[in-house]
Amino acid sequence: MSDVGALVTAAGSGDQAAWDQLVARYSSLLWSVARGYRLGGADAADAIQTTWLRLVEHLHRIEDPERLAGWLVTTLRRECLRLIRRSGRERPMDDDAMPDVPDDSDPLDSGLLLAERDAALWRTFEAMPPRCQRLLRVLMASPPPSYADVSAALDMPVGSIGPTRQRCLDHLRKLVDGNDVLSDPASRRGTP
Amino acid sequence: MIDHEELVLAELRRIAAEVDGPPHLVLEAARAAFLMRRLDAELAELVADSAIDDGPVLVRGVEDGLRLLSFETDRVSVEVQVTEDGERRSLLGQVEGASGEVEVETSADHRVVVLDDSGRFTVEDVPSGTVRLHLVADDGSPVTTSWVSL
Repeated sequence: MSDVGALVTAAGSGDQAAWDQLVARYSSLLWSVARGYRLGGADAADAIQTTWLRLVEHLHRIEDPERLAGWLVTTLRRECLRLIRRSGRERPMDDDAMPDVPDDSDPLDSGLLLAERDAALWRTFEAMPPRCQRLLRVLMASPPPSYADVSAALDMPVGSIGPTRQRCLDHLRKLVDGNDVLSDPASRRGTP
Repeated sequence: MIDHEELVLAELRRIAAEVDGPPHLVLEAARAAFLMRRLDAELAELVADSAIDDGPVLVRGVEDGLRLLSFETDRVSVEVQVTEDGERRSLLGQVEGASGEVEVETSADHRVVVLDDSGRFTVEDVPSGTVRLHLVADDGSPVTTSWVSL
C-alpha cells in the first residue's frame, strides 16, 4: 500500500489521474460504511461527497498516507452520525440497536439478484441484528478493509472486531441453516 | 484452509458489489471534487459543529433546526448560525479578522454578500447541500472555509 503515499503526493500537485485512482480505491469502502450506518442513497452520497471535498482541502496535510483510509472513514463516520442525528431517531451507539434511518433509495431490489440463493442470503443478512449488519456491511467492502480501518469507521475497538465478526457470522450461519433455499445442498452446487 | 465463515463473507461481498455498490453518480462526483481545489487561499478549518459535537443524548440544543458552525485560521474566525427551512438554509454569520465581502459557494452557484461594520452577514435561501465561504483577511490574504454539508 506504499503507493498510496505516491498517489496522495501526485494528487497534491494537481494530478487528476492520481486523484481518480484514490477515488477508485476507496469508494467501495466509503459506500459500505455509509450503507452500514443505513443511510439512504441520497444521504450516503451527500456524506461521501463531503468526505472527498474535505480530502481535497487536506491533501497537503495528510501526514501519514498509510492511514488515509482511516482518515476518510473517520471523516465519513462523523457525517453519517450527523445525518442520523438529523433524522431525529438517534439512540446511543453502544447498543445492539442501530438508528433506523429511512432508506429512500431502495437499491437492494431483489429482482436484480442473479440467483435465488443470492437473494435469500441477502435477505438473511438484512434480517440480522443491526449491530451485525453494520459490521458485516463494512467488512463487505472491496477490497476488504483492515481492522484498523473498520475500527475507525465504526468507532469500535480493534480487539472487539474479530470476536464480534465471529459471533455475527455464527449467527448468520444458523439463519442460513434454518433456511430451505440456503441449506438445500442442491442449490449450493457451483458456489465456491 | 478457508473456514466457512470466510466463504459466506466472500459471498456477501460479491452480492453487495452486485446490488449495493457505489452508484456511478457518486463516483463521478468524487472525481469532480478534485476540481474544487483552492490553492491560493488559506483553509479556515471547521473547529466546531453543533450537529456533530453534541452528544447523542443531548436534548436538542437551542432549538430544532438550528446549527452552529465555527471556522478558524490563525487570523480569521467565522461563526455561522444555520437555520433550516425545508430544503432551504439561512446563514447568519459573524466574522473576525476579515472585512469586505463574503463569497458563498454552493455546488450550484456563487453569491456575494457584504459584511456590515460589525463583521456580520446574512444569506437567505441557500439550497441544502455542500457550502463553503471565501473571505479576504484584514492583511489582504484570501481565506476559504472548509466545506460543510447543510
